[in-house]
Amino acid sequence: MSSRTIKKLLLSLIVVGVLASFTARGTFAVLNGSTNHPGSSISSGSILMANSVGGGSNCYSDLTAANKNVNSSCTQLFSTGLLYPITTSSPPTPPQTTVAYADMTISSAGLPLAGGNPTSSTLPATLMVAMPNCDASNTTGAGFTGGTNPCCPGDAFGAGVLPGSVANCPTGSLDFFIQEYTSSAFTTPTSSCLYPVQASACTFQSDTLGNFFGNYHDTTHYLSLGTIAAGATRYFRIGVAEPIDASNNLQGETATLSLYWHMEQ
Amino acid sequence: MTRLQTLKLNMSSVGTTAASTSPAAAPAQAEIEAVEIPAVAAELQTQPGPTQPGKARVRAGKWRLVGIVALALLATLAAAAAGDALNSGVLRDLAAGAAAFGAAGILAAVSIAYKRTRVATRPTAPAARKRFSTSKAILVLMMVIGVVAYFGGAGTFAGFTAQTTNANSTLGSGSLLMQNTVNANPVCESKLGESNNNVNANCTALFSFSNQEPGVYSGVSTVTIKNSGTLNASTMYLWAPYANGVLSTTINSGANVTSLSLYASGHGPAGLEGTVNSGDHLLVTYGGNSQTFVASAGAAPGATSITVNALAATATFQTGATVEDLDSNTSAANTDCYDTQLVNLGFNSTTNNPLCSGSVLFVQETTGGFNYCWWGSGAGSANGQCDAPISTNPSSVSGGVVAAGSYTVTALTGNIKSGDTLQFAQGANKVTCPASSDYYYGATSITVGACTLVSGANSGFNSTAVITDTSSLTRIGSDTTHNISKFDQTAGYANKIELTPVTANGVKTPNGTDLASNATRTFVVGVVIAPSNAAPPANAQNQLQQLKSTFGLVWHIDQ
Repeated sequence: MSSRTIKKLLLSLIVVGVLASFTARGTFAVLNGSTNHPGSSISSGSILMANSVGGGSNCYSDLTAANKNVNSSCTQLFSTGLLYPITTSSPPTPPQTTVAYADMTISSAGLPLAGGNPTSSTLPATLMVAMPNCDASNTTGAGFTGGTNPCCPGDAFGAGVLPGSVANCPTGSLDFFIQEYTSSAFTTPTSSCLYPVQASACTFQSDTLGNFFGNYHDTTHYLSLGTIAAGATRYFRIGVAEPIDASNNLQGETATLSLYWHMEQ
Repeated sequence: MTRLQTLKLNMSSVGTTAASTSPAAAPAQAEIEAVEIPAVAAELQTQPGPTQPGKARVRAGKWRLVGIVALALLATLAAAAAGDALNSGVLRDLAAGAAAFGAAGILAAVSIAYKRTRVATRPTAPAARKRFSTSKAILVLMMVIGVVAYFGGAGTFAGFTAQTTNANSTLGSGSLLMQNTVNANPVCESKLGESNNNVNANCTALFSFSNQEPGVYSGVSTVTIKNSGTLNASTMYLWAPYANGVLSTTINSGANVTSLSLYASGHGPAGLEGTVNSGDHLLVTYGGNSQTFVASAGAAPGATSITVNALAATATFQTGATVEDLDSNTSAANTDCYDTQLVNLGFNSTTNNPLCSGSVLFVQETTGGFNYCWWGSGAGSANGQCDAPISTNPSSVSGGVVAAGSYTVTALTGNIKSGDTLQFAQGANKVTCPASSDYYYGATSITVGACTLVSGANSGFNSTAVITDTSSLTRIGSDTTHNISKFDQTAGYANKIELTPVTANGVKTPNGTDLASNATRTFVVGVVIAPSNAAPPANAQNQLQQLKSTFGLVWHIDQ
């Protein structure tokens, strides 16, 4: 074979190689079949909360987008002064000046859409409550201050003081209860008391505020109030009173407390 | 009649004037006879005597040329008459007659020339005259006939022939067709795809799970893939589609295309599945034709029109053609999977498709009882299990108390790994027990070890108790690489997953036919919104509320 022929062959191979480099891509299979499942989907549900006090306007968890479903600016429960020790453990019928009541409506719903009704949650949830703070202070203008912390008698006064445990809150705090009602009329309590837990309707019992604060004071220690169905509403009365056996050490003291209401899937 | 210059051909060459033309000088030469050819042409030489050597050679050359042309013409006529070069019978007869007439004339001329040569010519001009050998003429004639017959002749000249024919030989192509069945839905055939290229973009959606919550079993679908063709598929693939849609308006060849219209429903994706960015390359395919356009503006998920830079269509693309964004699936923001708000809660933004990124997808094969996790948390595990959540019920709980032992349960729609923590929940009562073994999708009996009360009381459990695998959910909560968004970004066409045959739990063979003709393979596909394993409040996933993730999944076989 002449060198000229060899050169031609080599040149041909080069050309073929160059062509292949430009034209060959992907698979060389000729026959194939393919199917696609478009539109497969998964949708998430929602848990939203509305909170109103004393029949007032709703405070929605989703009011502020940046807070991502957490609203820390709802209406205060009560602002009651001049309490004095109750004479009976049975809660008096409101309106009352000797005890502090807050009638709470908790709904599984969020902000209304375009002026309509509140947007219902789509998922059931567990409703929980906690007391993230209960700050003791001397009542301004009081002629006498007893010196006992009404929230947790074993703790110091001041803002942001949390009990390390319920053991820090021995006897001597205010009375506290959470009673559920069957409707917004707040006339018919359910048969049991949510806190302090008892099979009958709530009554004022000694040391209960200290016990509640000692047990449920952060976001990992909630009191479970059971299930709330998607879109449902539940009604609670929060009661606080000077105990029957209150000592003078509770005179002239102020408790400033908050409640977290939390819904969780 | 005047005498022509002698035409002489020797055996070695035509037209040579070598000195050996003299018989005396070249006695051994294969010259047989010298001839003189009578001529009728006007240029005949009239000088009877010897000519000048140069002139004689010129004349001899002319007459050689004339003689050869005459012979060639004669031979051509003969060949044409004998062969199939002339289709007309009349023409063949005329050619044969002309050939015969010519041959007779040549024979006559040769005869006359032979006689005259013998009488007068040879002695007087032996050196100048060139004699024409009859045998050479015949040989040249035969050679020319042969050449002409080679190029112009057809058929055989044999008198006796034999012939056989193998008629009706055929070559038929096989087929690769795919049947895709989701649960008990109608079969989806690849051949019925509207894009007319054995690609069906309109199979049943895998699932439509609504109102889901993180860390809770959502459900699964079973997909059966069958090769209904006649050929074995050497390879079978699973991949995430590009952002895509289906053309709703025909584009005619040559048309100036400035936008692509997509079906909003009924033909596959609902509008655009995914997001198109300006400058993306959009591949339109119909039948064997495809063309790439460039988006001139972005298009949002669900869009039914994509504007493109003006370009003439190189082919006709009928409605049903597929439209794929070749530049998609590069980030969480432009995957095939896309999020939409079901309700605008203010805090549930769809930017970067958070639910697509928060939902773990798993694809587990169960063909023939052999399991293999192709995609998902646990992919490639030795036991073949994906971390697939379960939610099942016991047929009964003895005495209402959960304890170590075996339980008959409704068929598992997920997997349990040996040692996993199984939670029995009946209202507020919760008890956990360790699984004693691996249990796979479809299992109806499980055995657990010693149990622990978690909350409430270990009493009152019955057939409505719900059994979940909390360990599986925890593993899913830690998985950040197998969500739908990652599937789109890492298991697209360029990184497709070859589904090689599975021969045992967790064992796949590297080679072999992936899907033989008429064979089927079965897969369980599920998705779950991953729980967050972070501590509160960092585990909050509120931003995932009221979102919907929409996506696709492609099965493919090759010859």
